[in-house]
Parts: sequence; structure tokens; C-alpha cells
Amino acid sequence: MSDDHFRHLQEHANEIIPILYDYARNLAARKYHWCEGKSLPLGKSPEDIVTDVYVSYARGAGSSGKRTKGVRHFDPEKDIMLQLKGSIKSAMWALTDKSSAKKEFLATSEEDLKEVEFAPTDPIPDDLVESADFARTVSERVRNDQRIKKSDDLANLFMLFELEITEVADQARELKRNPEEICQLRYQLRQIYSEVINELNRQ
Amino acid sequence: MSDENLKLLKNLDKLLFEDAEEAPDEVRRRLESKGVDVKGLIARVKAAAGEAYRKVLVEEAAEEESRRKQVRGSVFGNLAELGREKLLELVRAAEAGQYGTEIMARCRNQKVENLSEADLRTLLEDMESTIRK
Repeated sequence: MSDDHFRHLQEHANEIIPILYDYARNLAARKYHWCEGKSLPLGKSPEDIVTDVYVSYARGAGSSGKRTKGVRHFDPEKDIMLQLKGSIKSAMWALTDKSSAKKEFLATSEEDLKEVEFAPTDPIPDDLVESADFARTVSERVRNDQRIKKSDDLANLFMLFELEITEVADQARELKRNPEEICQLRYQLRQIYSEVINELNRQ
Repeated sequence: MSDENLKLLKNLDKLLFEDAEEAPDEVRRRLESKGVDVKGLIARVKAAAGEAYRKVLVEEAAEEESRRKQVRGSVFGNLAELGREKLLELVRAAEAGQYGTEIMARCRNQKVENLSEADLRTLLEDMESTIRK
């Protein structure tokens, strides 16, 4: 079973690694104010995180079920991508956890999956202030982006996110568009959102 | 208002973290458009994983060999010095339960009469390693 997982990781590396790397970059930018040219804590980059996670599963596939540091095992019952993304999140969280910067918790798939829910440690008040300021600035910049100002469709989609209507099907119904069109608009909005975050992180 | 902004970001985060519609090729193209050397990235990550996997296999094999060396001789003594008849005698004693039930179980369905001296020695070594697992 483990060997199968390792083979799967290596054989599908062309599809898996770009997605994981993209996820790691987005997570680093969105949650840890990372941008191109900057390092995460301990001098790590998103590529290092992806490599560490990939290696930890490779080590898990080669070892006989040992629970040791730096070794992860797939839960065959769960989606592999979900587990990998959970591990990326867990590894990055461990890097930035101020109280235990060198202590990545020994992640089993269960622990990783719990982490996916985006409920990290309780923020300290300074973090809260920073988050609120950051959120306000991001919201304003996205709202005032020229592409949104020039496109009624994008502006309407953005408004739906403000109204907490976030599912494709609901958005399609509200905007009287088909789901493919909504996906295309979401892709454009995602680009804008991502660019705004990266720009702020660079500043 | 700040709560609303935080909520909005949380909602927009779904675009970044939950939208799975984008095909791997599109993700790849998007990364490349940002200057990422995706081919190099994949090669580096794959190589690191492959090396780690091989290293673990080598470590596990070394551990197993070390364990085998430790238990070798602990039940049947130095098998290297024994000839075929003596080895056969030990196997029969093991079959009869003289060395415990675990080893007796390992003797089931073995046609030891046809085994060579080297095979008998290997069989007895396997039995020794079995009881320590």
C-alpha cells in the first residue's frame, strides 16, 4: 500500500507538484505575508515546504509504519490531495508558530486534515489589529481595482462574496449565468485578489 | 466594518484554496507566467523524494540485517558449524515443539527432507528471526 502511494506521488508528480506549490505560495502569501524574494521563517521557501512534505510522505512509504519526526503516512481512506494540502498547511504553521518554531508537530493524516479547516492558534491582539487592517486594505483595493470597476459581471460577483454567497451554483442563479461562466469570472477575481495580496506583501 | 472585511477575505479565500476547477496544466501555465521554472521544480522535488525513499529502504534493510545478526545463534547456536544431519535434527526438534510454539508453527508444511544443507541453515535462521518480531 505504501509503495503504491509513493509510486502514485512520483508518477503523478507533474500534476501534483504544481498544484501543491501553487497552494503553498497562496497560503504563504495570504496567511504569512510572504512574497517572491522573501523567505518564510527559518529561511524556508514555499518550494522547501512542498519538498519537505513530499519527502516526508516518501519516507513514510519506505518505512514500516513508524511514527517518527519527518515521516508521514497516507490514510488510504482519504483523498491524497487533501492530505497533501493539509500537510503543507501544517508544515507552514509549524514554521511560523512563535513558541515552537523548530517543532513541526508529528503530523498524521488525521492531524493534517484537522488543520485544513483553517483554525490556527488563537491570534494575539496585535495579530488581530494587523488582520483587520490588512482585511480592510485588501477589500478596498479589490473593490477599486480597475478590472472590477470596468466589468459589471466582476463587480456583481464581488458583491456576492460580500453578501456571503460563495458557492458556484448560488452565484450562477443570482447572476443568471451558467456555472462555466461563473467559474471563469471566479478565476478572474481570484487573479485580482491574489495580485492585491502580493502587492501588499511586497510593500 | 472590520468584521465585514474579515468575513469578505474569508469568503475570497475560497477562491484561493478551494476552487478545484483549474486543471493541473492551467496551474502550471499560470505559475510559468509568473516566472516559475515548473519543470525544474518538479525535478527537484521528485529527486528529493526518490532519494529519501531509497535512503529509508537502505536504513530499514540495515536495521533488519543488524537485528538478524543479533538474534543469529540465540536459539540454535552457531549453525555455520553444523552439517546437514545435525541441521535436520534441529528442524525435527523444532517441529516437535522443543523450541516453543512460534517456531513449531514456522515448521508447518515444510518438506525438510528435500532441503539442502544451505537451505536448512536458512530455514533455521528464519525461525530464529521470527520469534523476535
